[in-house]
Amino acid sequence: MFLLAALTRERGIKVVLTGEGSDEMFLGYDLFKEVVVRQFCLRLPASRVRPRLFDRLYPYLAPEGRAAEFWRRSFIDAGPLDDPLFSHLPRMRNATWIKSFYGEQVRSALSGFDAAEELRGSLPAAFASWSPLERADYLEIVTLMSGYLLSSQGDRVAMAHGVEGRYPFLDHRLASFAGSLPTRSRLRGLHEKDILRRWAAGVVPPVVNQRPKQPYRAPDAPAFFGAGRPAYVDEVLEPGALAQSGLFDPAAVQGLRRRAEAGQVTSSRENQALVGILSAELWHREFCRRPAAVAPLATDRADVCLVEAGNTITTSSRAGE
Amino acid sequence: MSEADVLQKTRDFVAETFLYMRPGATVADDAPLLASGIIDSLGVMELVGFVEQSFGLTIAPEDITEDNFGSLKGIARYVVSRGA
Repeated sequence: MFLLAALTRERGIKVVLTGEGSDEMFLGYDLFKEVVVRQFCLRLPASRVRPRLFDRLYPYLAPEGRAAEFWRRSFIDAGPLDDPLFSHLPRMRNATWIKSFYGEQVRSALSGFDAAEELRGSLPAAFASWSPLERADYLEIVTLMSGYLLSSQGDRVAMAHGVEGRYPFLDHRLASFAGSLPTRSRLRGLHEKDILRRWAAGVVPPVVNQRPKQPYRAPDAPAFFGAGRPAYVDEVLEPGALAQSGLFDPAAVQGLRRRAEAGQVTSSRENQALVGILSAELWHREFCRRPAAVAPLATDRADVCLVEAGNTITTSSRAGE
Repeated sequence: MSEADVLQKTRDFVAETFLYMRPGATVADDAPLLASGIIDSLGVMELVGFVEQSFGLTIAPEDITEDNFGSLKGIARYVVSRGA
């Protein structure tokens, strides 16, 4: 998105319509299909055939020859349907891997804190009456879209190049309409965004309308440890730098770093931990260690330049005047 | 391969794959790998993959039990019993 926004700006385009929200409003993400398949498997836990649906869903994920076992352990054993966070349990389990790298202070500050429990406690009263797909959709919108996708992967990277995004799928009237539809109109079997595709049949060419959803997968570890690695990787992962921020245990991180150097970081959870550690350390370096790096704007002695009918009037004025 | 050799190779694998973030940590040969939190359900998959590759075995799903894969000792015993 960052590079795309640069390209957009190069072409002189300042405002773009983008599709953020369509996967949430019309159940486009694989996560929603995952919920359907997991429910299907849980209805007949002994079936060895049902979990093979995951082969279709994630053809790139399972180790060869052991797919059925992998699917069962990854998704079917992840948690019971009556857990409000059912849809997100596999993802949360991967993310909690980072806890093994916490520094002493962080570990003790967070002891007794349970993020999943806090999230369960924050759910709206009606949540319990929703279907598993509606619950998944709510969690996806609240935990990922609003706070992360729209800012980190949308607005910030676009505005870094002065490109403004406008988001038709986030129009509140469209969101209300989508929310009022039965989930099977949005996800029909395992066909995502069904009603949207049917509507768009006469609007966009078939090659676009019938294109299967392709998640973009960031390369994670290889991007930071392959050729052309950014200089900051070694700077922030040095044991001394890690000890200074105190967020993560330097010895633990050196283990992960060594594995990443050797190309052994291949699982999602290790990749996520690595990117999480790098992000947190960069954040710490930017905002905690050198907070004065960004000079505040001088607002009290702004030079105001007025141009009118060819005459230039330059004046010094205090802000707000 | 002797039971001691299998044990040593497996111990090294577990330390490198699951305990690298706790340098110096050791695993007792009879420590329950799952219950002690050293590995989780998905870690078992990695362990099975390691055993197949390192000792040239093919492991059927019904062999993946607590007895066979629950501890370092269990794995060593299983591998030797399979004649690897």
